[in-house]
Parts: sequence; C-alpha cells; structure tokens
Amino acid sequence: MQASTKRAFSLLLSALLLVAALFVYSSLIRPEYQAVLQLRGELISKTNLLSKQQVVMSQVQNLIAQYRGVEKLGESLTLALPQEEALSSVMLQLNALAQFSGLSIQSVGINYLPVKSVGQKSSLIRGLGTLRLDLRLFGDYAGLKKFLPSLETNIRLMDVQSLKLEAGSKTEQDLYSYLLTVDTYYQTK
Amino acid sequence: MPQQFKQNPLEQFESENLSVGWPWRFFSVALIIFSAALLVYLGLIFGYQPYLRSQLQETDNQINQLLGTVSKEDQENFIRFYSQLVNLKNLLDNHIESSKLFPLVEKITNKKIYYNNFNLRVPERELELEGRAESYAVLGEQLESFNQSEEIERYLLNQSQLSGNLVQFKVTLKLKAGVLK
Repeated sequence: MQASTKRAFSLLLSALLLVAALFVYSSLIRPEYQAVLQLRGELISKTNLLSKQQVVMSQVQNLIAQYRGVEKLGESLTLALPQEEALSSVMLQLNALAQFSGLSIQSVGINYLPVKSVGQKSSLIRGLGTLRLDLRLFGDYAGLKKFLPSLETNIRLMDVQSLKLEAGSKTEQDLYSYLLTVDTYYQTK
Repeated sequence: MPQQFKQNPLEQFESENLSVGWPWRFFSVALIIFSAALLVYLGLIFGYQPYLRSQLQETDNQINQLLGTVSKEDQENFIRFYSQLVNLKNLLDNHIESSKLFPLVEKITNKKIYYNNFNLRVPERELELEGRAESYAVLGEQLESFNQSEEIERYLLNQSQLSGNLVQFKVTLKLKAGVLK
C-alpha cells in the first residue's frame, strides 16, 4: 500500500471516529443525561421530603406521647362533643336538668342539621353535626331561671337558639309554657 | 570526446519520503474522543443511573418505614382528639348564655309592668316582649328605661292599646353584641 493511500485511509478513519463520537453524544449520551437529571431531581425532592417527614414524625410522636398523658381529658372532651349523635344521653341529661329545676318536659322534637365542615383549614378537622332540639317545657319562672344556667353549663355543649315564654292560665299566675330551641353538637367520624 | 557520467542518474532525484505523523496523531485524537464518549455513555447506563435508582428506592423505603412508626390507632385517636379540641374551641367561642338575659330584664323592668309573652331569638339578638302597663305614663317610663340601658342597642314599640284600665303593648328590643356571651 502506498503511503498516500495510507494517509487517506487514516484520515477517513479519523473522520469516521469523530462522526461516531458525535453520534454517541447526541443520540445516546444526551437522552441518558436528561434521564439522569430527572432522577437526580426526584432524588433531591424525596430526600427533602424524607427530612421534613422525619421532623414531622418526631413532632407527632411527641404530641402522641403528650396525648397519652391526658387521655382523661380526651374522655371529657368526648362527653362534651361525642363522636356520634348520642341522642339517648341528650334525652337523659335534659330530663335530669328539667327534674332538677322543677320543670316538666311536654315534648321534644329533633332536627338533624347539615354537617358543618371546617375542612378549608385542615383535613384533620372533622365535620361538626348539629342536633336541633325543640323543647316544650312547663313550670314556674324560678324553674326556668334554674334550668337555663344548668343547660348552658351542661357537660354536653348546648346553645339556646330561641326561647319563647307564654303565660299559663289565669288561675296559675306563675306557671308558664316555654318553647326552647336548643342546638347540641357531635363530631362526625 | 563526450563526457562520461559516473553517477547513476536515479541518484540525482530524491526519493518521496513524506512524514505520516500528522494523520496518525489526528487518528489518535479521534480515537480518544470516541472512546471517551463511549465510556461516558456506558458509565451513565451501567454506573450512575443504577446508583441513583437504588438511592431513590432506599429513600422510598425510609419514607415508608417512617410512616409506619406511628400506628393507625394512635393516629386515629390523636386526630380525633385534636379535631375535638379545635371544634370545641370554636363552639365555646360562640357559646350562648341566654340566662344572662333574665337579670337584665328584671333590672330594667318597671314594677308596674307585667309581661305575659317573652320571645328571644338569639341569632338576631332580638327580644320580643308583650305585656301590660298600669298606664301610658308607666309605659313611657319603661320605654325610657329601655332607652337608657347599655345592653340594648335599640327598641321598637310594635303596638300599644288601652284595654280596660291597663295598657297592652308589644315591644322588640335589639340587644347589643356580646350581651348573651
């Protein structure tokens, strides 16, 4: 083989190698590098998530440890705001309050109001259900003055929404008929 | 006599002896560039990408393990407790004490006035009273008493009429915010 042919062959081979290197870069390395960048981004975000989760979990564990120390308080909260309607306990409590105050319950009507949600603040806060009680009571004025504060400080939270007092018959001057609308609450599960 | 040439004429010409160093150097550089590209590609495929994937897998495992450190029951109990606290706080902030109204009504009512109907509407803060006064003078005093009261925002005499010796009337009181809390 002549030297000039060798030179030409060598130049051709070099050019081919350069073209091949360009091909490897553009068709193989660049797409794989993009994939690597994506994986690195994912890894960084997951590592950040992990470190935040570690902080959050340690706080949650602290809170749960504190909660275990006040489980009695949790029981009291459940009496004030039960996890369900607990209608039987409402009736028992109303009856006890009426008896204590010297009033008699003539009728009780119950309406279930739509559950109110506080969800926009946090998904941890559960909905609040309301039972609207329409009570008709009968008794003297002193009895009502005793009944209302007892109702307001009852362990199950109750709010008077309306109160109508109507005078009884003329012979019984101090006896009245009372129409009370009272809201009591429960937390949905 | 012709001159004799003693030298070979072929020796008069220099033979072609050009260097091939430059093409071979060019070839070597091209080969190095190609090899480097190939090595980088193989390194990405078989080295760095599997490493990143294993790191991701390990991080996922750690996150899952972390979530499992608090039991479902504990989470449930705590969320319930927290939710109760928040809901109760909201309820207590708006808790109504309607019994506070009786001392107020007793304080501002003239002794010569008798009520026979009493209608409290808490959301509107309105108290509707129907009663009897001994005279219009007494009713006037009573209205002035409503007017003077700090707990009453305004009042409206809906009706009044003389019935026998007594004046029957109906009045609506608008209570100030916070009177029932």
